[in-house]
Amino acid sequence: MIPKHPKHEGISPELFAKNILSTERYITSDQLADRIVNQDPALLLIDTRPLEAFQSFSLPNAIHIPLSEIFSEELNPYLDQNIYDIILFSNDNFNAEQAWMLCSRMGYQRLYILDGGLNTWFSTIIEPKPPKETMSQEAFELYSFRRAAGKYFGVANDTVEVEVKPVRKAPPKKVVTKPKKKKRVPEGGC
Amino acid sequence: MKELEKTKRISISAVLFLLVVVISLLTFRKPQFSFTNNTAKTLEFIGEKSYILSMSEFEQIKDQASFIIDVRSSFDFSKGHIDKAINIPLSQLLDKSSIDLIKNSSLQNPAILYGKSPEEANAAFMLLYQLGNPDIKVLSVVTFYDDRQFHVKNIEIGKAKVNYAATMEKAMIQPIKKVVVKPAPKPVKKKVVVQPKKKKKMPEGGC
Repeated sequence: MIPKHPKHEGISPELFAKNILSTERYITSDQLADRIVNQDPALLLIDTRPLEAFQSFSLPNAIHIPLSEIFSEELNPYLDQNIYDIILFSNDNFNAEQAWMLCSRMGYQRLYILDGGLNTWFSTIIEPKPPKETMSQEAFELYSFRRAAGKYFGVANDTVEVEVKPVRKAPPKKVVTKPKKKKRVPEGGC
Repeated sequence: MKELEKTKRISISAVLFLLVVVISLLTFRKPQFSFTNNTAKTLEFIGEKSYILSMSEFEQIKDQASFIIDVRSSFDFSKGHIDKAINIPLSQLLDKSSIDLIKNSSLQNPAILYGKSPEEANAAFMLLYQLGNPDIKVLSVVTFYDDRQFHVKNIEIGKAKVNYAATMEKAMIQPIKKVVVKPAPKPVKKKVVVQPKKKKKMPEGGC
């Protein structure tokens, strides 16, 4: 008698559409660096890239959960929780965003994406570009923050001053030409 | 008398109950949208990567595929777009008209989505796929408006721009050298202190 409609897991499509429109899910590399440096205890980094990429480089203390295994029994409890702020990241936004969308559909809370992924992480924190002279005060402050944060993550960016002494040129020696004495014809003589 | 009142009460409550059932049946609304593909199936599908279309692949099937959806805002769309594209902004994707349009048109041709970045198109894809449209492709391009022209640039999804491990190793070892040239010290001129000459005192007194 009662009309049936299929039950779907997680949130409704309307809410899902609202979630994907919102940009609240992004965290910038500067915000993330600030939270890592300040040792935020409620931070959990999750690397969604393949295993080889994770083994060659990853952010400090990141957990490896590849996209294909976000719903596996072993690794899913890391994502389905309400204790930590989870930061998902990959090389760019794409993989992390897909993981975020599937988790968000299941109704998981406190999920974020590192905006721009590791590519942006490297271009901002590890190798920041110095601001131009005409740029604002904030740009300079941001640059010095990034330099300092980079130092925390192991970048040896202390400038070593190497002194170069100017080579003094020796004053040219004056050449005094002595007039050659003429050989005198011996006077007299026998 | 008492019996009569009892039956009255029962009949009234029965009528009220029936009324509630009828009203609830009348107001019962089927939700407009519901997900048909679950997350496990979606995850399996996106793992195959067959839905991602590069620019070169798009050029080949461009003439056949006439159903291209631009998911950017209508403002961006009005400035420039790919030929034959239809504008359905991400925010209007769940409107009944757009859903019907996509469902009907994707029966003949696969719908091709693009946005400012592949991520934007991917968001629309994830929604539409989970709603049960299997034949959708995502164009892996970035689009931008520059120099009074609309540009479409192919990008490789998930590509590392630098070798992270190597860059990190390099950054950890090499300190940045800064060369400072010290100006040669200028010879300091010796100060010549000129002592005032004492005036010869005239001998006092005397004869």
